[in-house]
Amino acid sequence: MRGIESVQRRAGVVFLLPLVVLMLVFVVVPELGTILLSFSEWKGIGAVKGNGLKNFLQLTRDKIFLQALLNTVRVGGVSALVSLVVGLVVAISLQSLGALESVLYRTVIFIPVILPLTIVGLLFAFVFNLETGILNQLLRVLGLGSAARAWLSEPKVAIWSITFVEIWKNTGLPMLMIYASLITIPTSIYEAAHIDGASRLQMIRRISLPLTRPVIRMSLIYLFILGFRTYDLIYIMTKGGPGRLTTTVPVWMVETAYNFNNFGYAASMGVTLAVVILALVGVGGFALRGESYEMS
Amino acid sequence: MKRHLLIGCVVLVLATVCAGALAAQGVALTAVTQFGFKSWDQVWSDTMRAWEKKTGNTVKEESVDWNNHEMLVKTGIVNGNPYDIAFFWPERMVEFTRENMALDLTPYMEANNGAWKKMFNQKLLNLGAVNGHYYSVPIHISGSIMYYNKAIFKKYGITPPVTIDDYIAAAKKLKGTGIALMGAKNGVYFHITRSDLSQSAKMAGVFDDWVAGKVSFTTSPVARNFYVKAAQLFKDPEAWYGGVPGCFNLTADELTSAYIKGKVAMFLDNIVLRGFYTADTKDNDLGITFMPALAPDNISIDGGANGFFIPYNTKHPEQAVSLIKQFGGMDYQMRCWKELGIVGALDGLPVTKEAAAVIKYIDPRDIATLSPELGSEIDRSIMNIALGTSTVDQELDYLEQLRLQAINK
Amino acid sequence: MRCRDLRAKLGKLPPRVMIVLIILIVIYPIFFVIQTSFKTDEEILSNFWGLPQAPTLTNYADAWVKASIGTYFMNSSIVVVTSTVAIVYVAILAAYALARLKVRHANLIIGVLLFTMFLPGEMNVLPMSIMFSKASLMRRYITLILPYVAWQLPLSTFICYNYLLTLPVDLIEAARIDGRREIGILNRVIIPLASPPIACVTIVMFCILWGEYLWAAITMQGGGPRTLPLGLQKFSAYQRIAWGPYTAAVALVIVPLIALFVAMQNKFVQGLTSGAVKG
Repeated sequence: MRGIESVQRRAGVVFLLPLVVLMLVFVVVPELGTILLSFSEWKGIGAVKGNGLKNFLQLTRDKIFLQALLNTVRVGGVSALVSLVVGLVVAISLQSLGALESVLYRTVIFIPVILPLTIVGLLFAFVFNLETGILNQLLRVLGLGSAARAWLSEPKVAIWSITFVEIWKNTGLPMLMIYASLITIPTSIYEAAHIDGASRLQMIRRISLPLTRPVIRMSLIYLFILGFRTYDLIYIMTKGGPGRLTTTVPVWMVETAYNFNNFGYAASMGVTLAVVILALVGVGGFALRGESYEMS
Repeated sequence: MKRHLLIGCVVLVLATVCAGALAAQGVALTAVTQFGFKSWDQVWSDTMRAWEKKTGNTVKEESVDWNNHEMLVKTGIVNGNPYDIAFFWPERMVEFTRENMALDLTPYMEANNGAWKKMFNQKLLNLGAVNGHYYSVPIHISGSIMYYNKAIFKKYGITPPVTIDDYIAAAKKLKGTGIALMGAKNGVYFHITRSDLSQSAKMAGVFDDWVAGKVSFTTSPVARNFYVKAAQLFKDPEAWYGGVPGCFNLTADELTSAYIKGKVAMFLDNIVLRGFYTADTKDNDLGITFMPALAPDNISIDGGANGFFIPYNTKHPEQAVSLIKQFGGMDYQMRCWKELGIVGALDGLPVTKEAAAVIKYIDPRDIATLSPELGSEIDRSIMNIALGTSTVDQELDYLEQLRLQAINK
Repeated sequence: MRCRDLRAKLGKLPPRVMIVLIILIVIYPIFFVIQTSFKTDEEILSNFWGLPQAPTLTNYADAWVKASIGTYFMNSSIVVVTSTVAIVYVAILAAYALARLKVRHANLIIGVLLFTMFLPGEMNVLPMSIMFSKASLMRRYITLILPYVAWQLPLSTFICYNYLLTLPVDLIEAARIDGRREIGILNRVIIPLASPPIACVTIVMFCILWGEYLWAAITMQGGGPRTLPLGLQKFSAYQRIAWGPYTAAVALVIVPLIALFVAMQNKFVQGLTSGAVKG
């Protein structure tokens, strides 16, 4: 028995090798570099000078960073949760529809994921336009003219408009991931439940959700990562403005690094953001914890 | 099956890599600009092809957008793979010279008794000079102005506004017509702030001290005078397209579209884009006036020129200089003038009345160049006040903090 | 019986209404891209939302000929297909090792993988490009493929790992008793069964890499296999967009992608359902 285990273990090490080598060279080393950089001062050219915790202390007093962090958590957190819920609901609804119909819907809902971000940003700038924007025109047609506003310029609204675009762009991913997992659940389980007199809602709660939990958790983590890194979209639509209303950490970080040549300070923002995301993912993962089910 | 696909791909990749290595020959330059597809493209590519024919070298031209431009140029320099010539604004060269990232062009300028240097409009050439050394070659003038719709102005009896008070009065005349007085696309509104701060310092007679960062934002009236005055205009929802105080979050296309539909009477943009706007709006008679000024006789325009610079670590400095000279040549400059209505940077070129005024009022010295952090926050300050996310006093305190940081560095 | 049929049909109505609503929100922009690609520049600015009054094909000619979108498309296809195939195989190898081969410190490795996902990539780009430049590795296919594979491995491995944990051990044991070597088990038993995570990884990675801009822009300065996101830059000039050719290019890019997606998706769904029946 021992012998078999060591053979397996040796095969395992060999199988892991490509991953380990690639990750070490292209991910771990540069990221360790970033972490080191966050404790130093570097102008892009010349020597890297260590300066201890100075960057992090400065961050706590940096008004723009704190505002950006709040914005990031809003965009990232809300867009991830909403995308997940919408994706989940759609995936479950799709399950009850015919094959052809569901392929059609899935494809359409997935298209935004493949659209280039530039066009998404430019397009939504037009959607949100006060005068000619399709959103305000629609509101006026529906008799809700008073709700029409400058979606990307008003202090309380701008960040949520961006969040909406983020949701629009991302929802296809959790939908597809969850759907792919849902259809692997054997129909016999549902049939058995049906015979036991379970309602549709009960089946969703007792069968669909628990069995897809690993995928749901995975999607949530991934949506967090996508949402917290929102950069291009904001840069195209608002450049972080007006004022600093829609500045997120990645936007402020890139500005600090590439416009101010302040790479050390920017790295400390990146590291802080990583810690915050990690903490939130930890909370999310905890909320979705549960024993894993084995399919048999 | 999958494995075959993988091997196939790897072979394909290797083959292309080898083919690429064999194809390289002669001196190949790279250039980065912001002028992609529109009418400009033809003039630019003709100019480059003409140079290739003349010298036997090749140029690969890349057009990148405004958002990524500075980042790409800087990363290229830092990682040792720079573009050979890069588009940038001469008056902002200090962002590169501070870390010694730009090649000193003085020897080329001064060669043959300064033959090259003498060709330029000296005011534009000096925009790219830092501590008496030339780092940038201007190719067109560039300055922010307001374009306006003459028909709308005539219909409502508005004369082209110049001072902030003029602008406020003009906005009143358009009240209730469904037409907003003005708009500014994302990322250019700050020219008003920068220009007016310079004006305010000039009016107080402390301009030299001001641009050196020696004048306080909080205790001296220079900045306060401007912010209190400008807040009136910027907070006026009627004045701005979008109906939100200081609504500037528009893309260039949104604004042009609104202008064509007659929803906005004037907009802020660069004089160099006149040809684009004439073509897009089908209006051959676009009116041109100054950005809101503090006083009619005290106009100052920040900015200056479009130009090229050469990264300090280019592998082909001689060829790069020769390529820039092609753009500084009469052929290119005349074509720009004739086909695109762009005023070039050489002496003795035809100049419109408006362009002459812009050149006259251009002042590249600007407190915003003291440090990029200060510049960035000056750019956003007026918006924070207009939106009510902070007050004049809070903004001034913050800018003062950044000024002290900048001069103590 | 009939009554139950009716109830079943009615039960499907609310989800259908909801999905159709969502689809309307989603599909409009795509419809917009297509309609804009048939308009002239002037019409786009004066009639932004309406249907084209005098449809034109010049935008497509511009996108294809002047901006040679075809070349960019080829470059992108080579880079993205190679990377995606490599990602899937390396990820499933590693996931199998971590989930079923009793490798020491498997949990630690998973933890490190997860952690690396959270640092924003924008910061790593500069040091990485210095590294590549020093190794004379700029402007090649490899410059894009190797980092693309490495960056996407944590998520892909994690997706596969999670799935493999749910696969019954007896299947693998049976194959071992048949005397197969581990690589044989992976190729003949695990990979066919793991089509859901493979489908998921393929599609997700394909989409992420298809749109990657920053790294490609930095390492392909002045040549090399320039990918589509770089090619699309050709249509922006001084903060303005040439909407006509730009939307035409996007349409040219999107349509084959959608076709690919539909074709692949069907195959995966078939694979998935058959797997589930057997399971």
